[in-house]
Amino acid sequence: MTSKRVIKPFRRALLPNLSFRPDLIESFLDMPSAIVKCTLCPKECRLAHAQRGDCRVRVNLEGKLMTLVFGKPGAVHVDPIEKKPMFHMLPGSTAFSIATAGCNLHCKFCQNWELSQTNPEDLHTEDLPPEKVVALARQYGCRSIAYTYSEPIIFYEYTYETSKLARQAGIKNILVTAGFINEKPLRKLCSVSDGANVDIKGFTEDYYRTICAGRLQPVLDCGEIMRQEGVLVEVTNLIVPTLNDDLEMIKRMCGWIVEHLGPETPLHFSRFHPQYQLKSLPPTPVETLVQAREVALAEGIYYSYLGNVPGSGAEDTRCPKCGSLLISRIGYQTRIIALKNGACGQCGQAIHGIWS
Amino acid sequence: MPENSPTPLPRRRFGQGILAAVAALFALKWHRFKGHRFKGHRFETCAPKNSLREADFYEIERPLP
Repeated sequence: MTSKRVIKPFRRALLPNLSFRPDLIESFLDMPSAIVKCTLCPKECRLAHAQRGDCRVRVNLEGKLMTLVFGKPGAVHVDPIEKKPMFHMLPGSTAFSIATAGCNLHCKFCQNWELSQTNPEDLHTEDLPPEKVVALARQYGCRSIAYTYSEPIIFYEYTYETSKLARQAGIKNILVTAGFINEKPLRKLCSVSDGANVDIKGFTEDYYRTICAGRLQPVLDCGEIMRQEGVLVEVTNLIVPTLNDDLEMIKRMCGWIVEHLGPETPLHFSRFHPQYQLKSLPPTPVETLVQAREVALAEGIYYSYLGNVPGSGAEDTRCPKCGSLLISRIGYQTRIIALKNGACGQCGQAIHGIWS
Repeated sequence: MPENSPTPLPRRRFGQGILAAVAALFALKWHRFKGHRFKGHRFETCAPKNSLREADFYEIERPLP
């Protein structure tokens, strides 16, 4: 009895990561358990008792899949909405931004890796149930709540409940996401979401597999579903030197966006800074970003912006018809110049977005 | 210790060092296990109660035996 009590825990402690083989874990532990399959994201982790998913925040506890982060954000900030970046939604307003630990992707360049690549119990968290988030957003005069920094998909239940309450209170909801989610949960989430910034990290399956531990196709599907469901979609593409800065690849991505999401979809090219596991690479040269933007405009994208390059002049919104300056931006300072009731003040062209 | 004989002390110390290192590794593993890592029901004691909530999207592939 004593030897079992001593040895069994050691056997468990020495267990390697076998999240893809619950049967092996059971034979190793000599203990049958209920197996659940998480159907939230395309990874569809199969979990034996006590196992966590790849996202670190969903765990099988005796046959029930539980989330460990409901109402426990690890980051809470009031940010300019341009920081998300959402350029075509309530410009100049602030977004109450929340995030919990965990992520279902593991990008080597992650700029929020201290949040996204950690366990929830290893992080200082706030006790912030959905009602409190909405109350705080109101208190700070935020017109939107952004589910951001890490990945709103993995704190799905928290995002959904908060979004429902926010909508009742007249506050908009923004998802800043990598879009790696299954169709059914996504459609449900879209019913309470107003805008989304979807990160298309690269445009090859190989890039997603080797750099992000994910797949490209579900992300593309996510963009299309969001558009079908009436969510305002903006796309961000972080250009990492030598890995996804090929202009041909960027051209194909822009072509896909024009065809499937529409030319009015704003596209942000974001500058990479050495982070996490890619510290050996230099920051993206500004010329590369400028070239990518030129490719996007040539492919027919109406609105293309550069991120993390303040003062470049490529953050302003111009009318796609007459070229008038509609919204001027320098960093997070926004000035509405000639946008009137969601249309160009000069030629009357309707501008895609949520403006009030 | 007999005089004028090679002392076994260093070798014993070396062995003791290895033993100590192994023990430390096991202790660390044990600590992680005890804390929160591998035994699911311990989440209920280490995670705040109100953050544990049943997830919306999952399938039971095999129910509890």
